[in-house]
Amino acid sequence: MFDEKTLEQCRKLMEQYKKTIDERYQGKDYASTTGSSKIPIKAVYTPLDVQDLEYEKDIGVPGFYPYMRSNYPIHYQFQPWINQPVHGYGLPEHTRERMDALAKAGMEGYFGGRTYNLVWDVPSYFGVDPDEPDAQGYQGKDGVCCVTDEDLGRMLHGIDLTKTNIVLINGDTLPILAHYIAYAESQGVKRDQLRGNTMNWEFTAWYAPNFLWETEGALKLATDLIYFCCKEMPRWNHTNIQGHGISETGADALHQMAYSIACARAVCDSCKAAGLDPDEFIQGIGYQIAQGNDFFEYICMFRAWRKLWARIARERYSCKKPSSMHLRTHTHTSCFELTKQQPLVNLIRSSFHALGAALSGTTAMEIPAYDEPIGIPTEESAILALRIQQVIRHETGITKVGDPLAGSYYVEWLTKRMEQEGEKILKEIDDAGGFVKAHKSGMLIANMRKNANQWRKEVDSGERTIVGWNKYIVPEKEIIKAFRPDPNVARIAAERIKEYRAKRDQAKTDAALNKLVEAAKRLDKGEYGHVMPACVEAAKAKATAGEISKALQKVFKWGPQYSISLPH
Amino acid sequence: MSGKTKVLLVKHWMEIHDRGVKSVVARLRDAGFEVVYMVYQRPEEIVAAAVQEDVNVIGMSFSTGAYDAHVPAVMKDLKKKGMKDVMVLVGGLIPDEDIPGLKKQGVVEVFGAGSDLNKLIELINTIRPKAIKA
Repeated sequence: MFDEKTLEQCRKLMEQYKKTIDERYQGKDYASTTGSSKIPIKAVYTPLDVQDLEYEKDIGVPGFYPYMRSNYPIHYQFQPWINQPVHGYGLPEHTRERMDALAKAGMEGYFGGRTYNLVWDVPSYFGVDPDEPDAQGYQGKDGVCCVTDEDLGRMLHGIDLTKTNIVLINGDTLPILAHYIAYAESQGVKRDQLRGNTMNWEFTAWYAPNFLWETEGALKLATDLIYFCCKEMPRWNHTNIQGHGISETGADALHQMAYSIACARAVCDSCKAAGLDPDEFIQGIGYQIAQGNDFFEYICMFRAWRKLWARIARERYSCKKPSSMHLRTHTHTSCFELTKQQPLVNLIRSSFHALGAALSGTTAMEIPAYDEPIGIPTEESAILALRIQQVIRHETGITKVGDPLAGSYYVEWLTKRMEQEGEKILKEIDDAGGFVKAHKSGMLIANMRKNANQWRKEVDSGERTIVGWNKYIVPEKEIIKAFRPDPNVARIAAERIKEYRAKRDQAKTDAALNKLVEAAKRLDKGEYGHVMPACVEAAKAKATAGEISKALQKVFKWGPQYSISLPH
Repeated sequence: MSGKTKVLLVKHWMEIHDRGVKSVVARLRDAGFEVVYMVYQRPEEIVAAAVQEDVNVIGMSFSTGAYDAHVPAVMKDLKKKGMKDVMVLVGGLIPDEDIPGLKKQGVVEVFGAGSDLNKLIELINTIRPKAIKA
């Protein structure tokens, strides 16, 4: 990228520079490895560090392969990122209050539309209905308690589903998507008109502890959902690769990227084997990406991620459409770096995370509220988190230029390094027999756990500073009142589900669930295209989320890994 | 059997945010305690495991609620079994205003997010390990 004259000048200047360092700082070069990914960082970068890069191949321009700089030639100037705050608590109508509050506060999607990023509570995450013993104490606490098409109606009534993106954040994805389709079609909206996201976390939340579906079965379920969406829901984004969860579990920026890509490749391989065309399914795969404290490292990770993914889509999956090569990104800024101590500092921290994501060219954003180390957000704290996005978008001016950090010697060097290191990790996973084998061996989780424990050790020893937690400590004077969902949620949810079951045509429900079990058996043999339609029919026959999940559990191995041990 | 102080740390199977408790497991093991980590389904399994493993400390971790249901159940079971010497600790995301209520039930201390783990170790060290068994 540089002519010999420039490089020669650099070499001479760096000789002088080194001499000065020797004299002024007694030879100490202040190189640092405090980056979360342990890549050694120097105190200065010059053209010498990026002289081997080829402009077209390695950097390029926004909107062109390898799409490192952006998926689009014009990005925020034409269309800023989507405000996509996660929300959900209590009963569906309680969550609706928060949806309306955020909409009123200016939450915006693409082209005047809106995206509601709705999170389910843990029981419905795992296909446990609110009246089951295991759900007790958890209903509506950390997400919405919503297990039927009627519940969805309580949350979504009056919203134009053809114009609104609905994101269903849920572990057991198939039953909830089935309910969503059942609800929409009861309102006269056809499934092919629906836009939004499912998580497909049966497989892609592989990193989560006690995850319930046995890996191979989970991949079949996830693939069937994709198969269905390809055939019947062309506007739906079916799969979310959970980089954020990988990061929260303990991965550094580099491993977040590499493990996410490895997981996505496993999904793509499975879809291809199921007979789907990559140009048809790959666009429905999105990544949820954590942006953490190490500002430049996460930005460079993001740029390298776009580049690696574009190459994989083009070379490994022979995609032809440019949109298949685009990395679809939803930023979920870091949570594990937020503190309960001096919680208002989290607003400052998250602002930097969000700024980093915006400088990386993300396409959607969730920023946790400052009080999330205390509980789920209050309306006030949720709106303040939205305000961070609004301030960055409207006040800082950073949206004027696409990929504004491009060309920085440091940023380009680190981006390239992230790409190379990422490829090495992907190769390690290939060498271990591929993602499924590598995951099942415990190798990936062991790495994340080790890193998480190391991080905590560094905080405890003071080697890593977290402001207000291990440095600049003040006595915590004020007790911050935690937001609490209505205490009657569990009782009302249990009453509702009882009523729901009492008024349905039980024979019809049973028949639909039996058909689902048969479809699941076919899927287990590798026959795609039957389970998801059977889930929709079960939802229309008024089966609850828990019942649909349990029908699938009759065929696919499922079960909490109760253990008196610590495998990882 | 060694004379090490033995700690049982537990988390419910639906609780997916376990980074904190697993860091505590690692730290307590480094500090020389014998640590048993258990994923449970129903609260009654906790005291049963505490009896079976003959522990000095039960630490319950919560990230998404349910301490209001599970802590009283454990305290009741301990009483039933006459296990007065077991130190019960709670950790995770516990709003400050709920701490007095937990202590009233017999929880010795609550170690919420960002707690100083040295203080946890000091507290556990106040327990005299059980006599060495033959």
